[in-house]
Amino acid sequence: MILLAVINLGEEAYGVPISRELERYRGRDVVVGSVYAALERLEAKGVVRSAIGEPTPERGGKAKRYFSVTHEGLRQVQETRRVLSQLWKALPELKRSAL
Amino acid sequence: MSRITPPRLPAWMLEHLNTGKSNDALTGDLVEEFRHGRSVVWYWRQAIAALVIGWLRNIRNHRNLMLAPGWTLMTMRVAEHQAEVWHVWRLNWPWSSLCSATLFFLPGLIFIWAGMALYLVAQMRTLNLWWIGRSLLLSILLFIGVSFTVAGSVPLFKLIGHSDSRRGSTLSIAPDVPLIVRRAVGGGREVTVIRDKRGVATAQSSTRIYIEPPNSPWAPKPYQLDRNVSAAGTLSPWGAITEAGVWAIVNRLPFFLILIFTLWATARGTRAMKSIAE
Repeated sequence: MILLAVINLGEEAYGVPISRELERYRGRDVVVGSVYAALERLEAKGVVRSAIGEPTPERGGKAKRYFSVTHEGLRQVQETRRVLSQLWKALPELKRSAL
Repeated sequence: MSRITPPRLPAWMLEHLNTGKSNDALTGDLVEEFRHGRSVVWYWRQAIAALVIGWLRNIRNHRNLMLAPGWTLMTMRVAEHQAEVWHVWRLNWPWSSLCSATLFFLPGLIFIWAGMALYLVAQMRTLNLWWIGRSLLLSILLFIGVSFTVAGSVPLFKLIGHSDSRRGSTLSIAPDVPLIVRRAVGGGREVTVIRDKRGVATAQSSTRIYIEPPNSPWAPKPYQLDRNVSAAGTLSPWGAITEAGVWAIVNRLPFFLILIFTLWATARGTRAMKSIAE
């Protein structure tokens, strides 16, 4: 989910928009700290990379941390989509066979 | 407090108590959201959640602290079999108290300092002796404080949770056999101690328990308990390390907290000095 949000936001993917995007789709509050924890794990796996922006006064002088998806991340997203699509396609057959 | 200024206490906690490379960005995100109309409650909730997540991540990253119970067990065994170490008891007061307190805390501090030294050697390229010395001193104060707090809290919890422990018999096991006790049950005339695959052995009596380890150099002496109390436990350092019972977790707490704090303080100071130099 976080990966898709990062892809969707493009160059504007940092903590606040990512959290809002997740909130919008999930329909409930998101803990920003958990978003960063997940992003750091993904970064350690080489799925995303991050870059520090410029500090701004409206953020109390703190810089934004922008995230983007790596080639490996894109490959994994596509692979996951392919597998999920196949699983969904298989569901009606499962239902029929169960009946 | 104005709408553009987030609550001071959680902001301070985020600034000073949280760890991780995204801490600055996270703090900025929360400020940005707060200024866009989020409530004070929301800010508090986010700050506390971020701290909890950060500390859990820290504990996960320092898994070697699981060695702490094994280390405690070994030092206790050495102390038990080295009677001369305890000759300090024969000194006059206050030296006897001072020496025994030092002997109690020193093994734990050596463990923490060894962990800190390993971290510094592995991670740090520039070392600042002043910050390292400060961290060492802080670790002493914190270790003593946290140990006393944990030791003081345990009887309180047991008092609330188990009426049997009010007699003090269950508690008397804890200082002698930290982490060893896996189960202590009061009530009944017969004492029953459970044998498990990690080498716990038992004998039954209404007043005395003999723990009979299988040819282990770490064999403890028989422990005399109050009436109607049974106990069972692991007898090897490995057993103590892998133990995940309440006692083991309680005993790990001082090590967890102090080593993480010490590493945080040392790394932070060293980074700060490096940035000043640059």
